Amino acid sequence: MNEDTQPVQPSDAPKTRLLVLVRRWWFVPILLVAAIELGLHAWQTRTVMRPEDWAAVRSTLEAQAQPSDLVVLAPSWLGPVGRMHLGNGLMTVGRVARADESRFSVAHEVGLGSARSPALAAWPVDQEQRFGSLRVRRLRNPDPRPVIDDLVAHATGAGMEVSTVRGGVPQECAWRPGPPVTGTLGFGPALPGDRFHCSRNAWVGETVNADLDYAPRRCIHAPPPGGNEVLRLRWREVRFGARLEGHHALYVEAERDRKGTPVRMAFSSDGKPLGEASHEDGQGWVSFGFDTPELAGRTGELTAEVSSPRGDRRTYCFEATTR
Amino acid sequence: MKKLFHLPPEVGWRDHLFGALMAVGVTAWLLVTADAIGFARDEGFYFRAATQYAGWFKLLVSDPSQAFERAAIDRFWGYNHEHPSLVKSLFSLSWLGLHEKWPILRGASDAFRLPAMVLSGVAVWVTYLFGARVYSRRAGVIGALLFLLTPRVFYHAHLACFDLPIVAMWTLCIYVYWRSIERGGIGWALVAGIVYGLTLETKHNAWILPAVFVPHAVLVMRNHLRGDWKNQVLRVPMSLVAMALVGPVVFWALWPWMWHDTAARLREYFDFHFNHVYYNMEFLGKNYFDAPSPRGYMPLMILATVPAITLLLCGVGVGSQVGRAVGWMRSWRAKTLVEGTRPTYPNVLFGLAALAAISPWLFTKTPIFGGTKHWMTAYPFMALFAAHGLDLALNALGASMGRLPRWAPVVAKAAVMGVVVAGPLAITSHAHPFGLASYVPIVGGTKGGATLGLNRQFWGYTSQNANEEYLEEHARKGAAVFIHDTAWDSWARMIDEGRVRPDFRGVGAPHQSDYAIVHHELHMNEVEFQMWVAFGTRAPVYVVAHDEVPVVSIYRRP
Repeated sequence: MNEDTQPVQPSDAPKTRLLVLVRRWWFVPILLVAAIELGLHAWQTRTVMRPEDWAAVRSTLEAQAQPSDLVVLAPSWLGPVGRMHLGNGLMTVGRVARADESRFSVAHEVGLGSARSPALAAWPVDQEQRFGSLRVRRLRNPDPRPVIDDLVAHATGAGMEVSTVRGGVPQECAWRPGPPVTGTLGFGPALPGDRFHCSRNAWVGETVNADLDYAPRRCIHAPPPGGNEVLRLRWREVRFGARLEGHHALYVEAERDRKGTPVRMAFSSDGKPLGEASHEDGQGWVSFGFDTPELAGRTGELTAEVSSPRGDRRTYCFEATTR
Repeated sequence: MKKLFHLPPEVGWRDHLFGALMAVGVTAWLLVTADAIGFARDEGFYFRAATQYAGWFKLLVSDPSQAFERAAIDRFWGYNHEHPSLVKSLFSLSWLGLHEKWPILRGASDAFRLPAMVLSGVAVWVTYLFGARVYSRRAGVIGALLFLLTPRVFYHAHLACFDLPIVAMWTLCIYVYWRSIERGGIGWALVAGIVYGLTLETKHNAWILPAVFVPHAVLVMRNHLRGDWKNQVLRVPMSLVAMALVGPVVFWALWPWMWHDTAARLREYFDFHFNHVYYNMEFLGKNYFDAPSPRGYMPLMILATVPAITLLLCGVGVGSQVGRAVGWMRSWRAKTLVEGTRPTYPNVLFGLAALAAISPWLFTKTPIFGGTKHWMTAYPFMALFAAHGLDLALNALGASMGRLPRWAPVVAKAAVMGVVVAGPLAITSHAHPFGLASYVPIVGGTKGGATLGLNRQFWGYTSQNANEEYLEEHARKGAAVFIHDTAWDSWARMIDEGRVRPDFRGVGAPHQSDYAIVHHELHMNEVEFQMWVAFGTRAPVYVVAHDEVPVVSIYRRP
């Protein structure tokens, strides 16, 4: 008896039958993929976001969102469409170019379907409303750390003095209004119309910087002059809390090659050092912070000195708050 | 007459005629759909190059001796000399002939783009012939269709660039080489040498082709290689010799820039491509701008941009051939191998052609900025394997319907072929003109691609869509428009041809503009942030979207 004529053992029978079935009909699931793909294509390409849904979302948020609340869009590619429909009143620069989420007690997340913002994944959902395919979720920050004073908001001629200091001699940077200046890819952050003009075409002022992840960050552009020269920023009146917290980075193309020298920023108040932060290329948008218990509840001046061994392409930008 | 339409089993002139008709159909389809695609950044450079080269062609006719002088060559051929001249010369001659001298094509861009469209048709033609000769005519047709019905292929096929031309020449060169092996003779060898030269003159991918031909030739000639060495020189396929000797001569002869100071200019050419600058490219939400490139880029981008049914059937076809290869190896080891007199191993050739095309992206030093276009040379061969896979599936379907009436399997097979082609056709036609933003259903379509953090475009070609959908109607007369990533030559051509309102004034910075457009790419975000500062708004007035995914945003000065 050769192998071909051996009887099938009862225990092997189902396996053999399955094998025969697979050998005969193997092409069916493969060809089904063609139909499934066509169906998926039709499903995925239908329009799901209607203008009336966006209008309803806008009305809802305008009624519910407080100025101190965060409004975010998910997934992130929804940003331009969401900002177009929701407008500047809801999509403020403080929200879209925020330093982080910690300062917000409440967030309103506008998501397409089940899409969520990764930064808010741990925030409990208080409420969810549906507007067609869009969902508005009200989220509560489990660990909010409210801001007492925002140093970026004081980056004006009225709120701040700026100078460059060489050999102990300060040279004032003049606050002048004017038109903004921009460029194209590689230009760096836009020069705001109103800014401090320093020597060698350097400038200081509030802008929106693209960080190492190409995310927008509202910050004070404060490039160190390089060498022994420092850039000094002095806020006239800051309401202090128990901590001074901030974030800093360089413009993405200035730090992504990791070839620049570190940037150091030293904070002091009334001549008393509060702390130092150092930023190295490749770190991206990172946080720093110092305890300031002795200043908590007081209002006073605050000085920051920014320096770096070399000044070439040190497009440094930072934000700081008191908490 | 009946004899004329009778298809003999051997592939012959009727198949060439059919392939040529497919090529004409493809060219016509591309031509009528080309208006929807704005001018890509590189096209702007090649329009300029073609226009300059036209000056030399005119000089060649009016004063041939002066045309060959170095001063004239440097003047006309100096621009964009980092790329060979053949395809740009075709753009130039097409523009001179079909637009300037005889205005057959209304738009200059149609004339510039036509040669690449024709070559796209040639790629389809050769793919059909390959499939028909190696598998079946049915496989040839399916292979040709599945190749064309890939969104990225269809997009690039419209452009006055080198990407589809090199796909066509790569495939043609491999086809001619294979025919030379199959048929033998000095005639085919010479044709192979000339076609290889033309391929070298099309794009630098051609320098990889020896990695396809040499291993294949070794396989074909292996029995002779085991003989005494005295006979080996004569056993090297003549086509390889011709490609080594004639190819570089054709390459040099058709590129005037290389006629003077050849060694230094060749060195410059190789240096440029061996040390090519890295441009930005987003992959899985991260921007890559330098080595190391992610190893997963090529496989995942193929998965995300080629219809799943094409890839699955390709897997079936490859799997079947791998199974056969294993059996072949066993027989060869056991010395029981029985083969025909002149085996040419076309499946091995297809595999080598596809592998050689994608293999540079297995190395982390290879830049990824071109997206999928740089390895599209693999796609005709992947489509052929897919067609083979479908052939096998249809045969199995036919076998399973043996007890039914004769018409039943015929109808069933036709229906299956229709469904297999319908998906890629629907996906590809829907992707137009946003071929670079489009992703296939397996990753969730365009929305899925965006969610995964895959690049949505490059080359700034969508400014035309911004004009069509918003600016044309809403912008004031003489408005200044920031054109972002669109090359100036591309913008000027769009103005010239009325694709963008002619009264618009292009500017190079958002703060100079009344309307600023941003082409959404991860590394371009900074430009949008500049607009927020310059205009004091985060809300665009209009967003050009594909499947609701933003492609271009338009900001207006308040």
